[in-house]
Amino acid sequence: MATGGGYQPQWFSAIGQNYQTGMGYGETVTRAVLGSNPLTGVGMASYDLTSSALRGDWGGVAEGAGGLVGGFAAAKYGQRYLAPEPGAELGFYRQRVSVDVVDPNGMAATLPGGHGANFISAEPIHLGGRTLNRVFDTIDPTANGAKANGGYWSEKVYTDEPTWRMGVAVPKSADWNRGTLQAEWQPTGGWGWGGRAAPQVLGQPYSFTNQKLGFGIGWIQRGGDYQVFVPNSYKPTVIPPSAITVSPTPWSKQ
Amino acid sequence: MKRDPRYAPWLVIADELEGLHSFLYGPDGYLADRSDRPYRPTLLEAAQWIRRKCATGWWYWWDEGWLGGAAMDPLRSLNHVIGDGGGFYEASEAGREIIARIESLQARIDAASRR
Repeated sequence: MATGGGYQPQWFSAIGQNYQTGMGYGETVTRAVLGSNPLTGVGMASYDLTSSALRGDWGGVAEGAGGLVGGFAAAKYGQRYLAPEPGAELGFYRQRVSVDVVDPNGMAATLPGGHGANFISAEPIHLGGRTLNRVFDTIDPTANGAKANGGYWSEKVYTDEPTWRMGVAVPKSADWNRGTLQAEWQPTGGWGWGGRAAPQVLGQPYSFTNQKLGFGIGWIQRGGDYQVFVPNSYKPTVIPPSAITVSPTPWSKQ
Repeated sequence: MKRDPRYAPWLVIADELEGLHSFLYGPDGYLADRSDRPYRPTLLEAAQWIRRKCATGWWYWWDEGWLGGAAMDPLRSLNHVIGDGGGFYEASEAGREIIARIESLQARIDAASRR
């Protein structure tokens, strides 16, 4: 068992539901609030549409449908306008105090609390045979910043910045990764940690975390995508520099 | 003004957060070249917020849970920075000291916020 405070996002059910039905970045909260509000929500709108249809008031149906679409459009615009940075979402999140893992090889020591906190859940995985990708921002070995041989990798290739920032929880405001370059690595062996990325807060005044109660509220990068942490990734024996292919990220080419 | 003795350990933690901020971004700091754009949430802002709550806050609302969250958030961010740094921090004595100080602060905050 590895300990060390991962985050467990705990969304309003309406938000989770809307997210799963394929809503894109920037729409989540306002739409959910509209949906949960009895005056503007989908339930009431559906009722209006149904009752209009039963009355044969097709003009009312058209008006109601227009209002609904207009409401969603306004919500989408409002959320995008209010979000402090690309990919950020507003909501409650829950903080998990410990992460239970299957740990057959006694690897827990390679995931110290600081990195355990960046996972919602984590388990040791065999790296061989996978194709791992990561987004980073400098190839200068003497410069500070996210490097090609950093510890956090994904199995997914991200094609736009908000999806990347939201998926693996990299706040733009935190300024630790500008996301200008991407790396691909096909490990031939070794062990790492795999699991869902924990949210990252944007910090005050955008978000507040309660360490004792284990929850927070505010703007966060949601996380939730599968990520891989490679312990001691900086050692050339773990990730040989020659094994990494580097290219610009699609959004930095634009 | 409300002065609650339960805030006392948090003033010490605020001092340590500020000390780590100076160690990182001070004139001779390890990340002095980033002093104009420190990694966020910043240690300094967290320390100032905690001090403000210790001076004027009401424990009923602003208890160890919120103070611990404010103190821990910048450390989590820094841990991600170090993990993504490709050995930048592990390569030097000062970098390793930063890692040790973060771990020590995390343990202290964790203990203080679970009282």
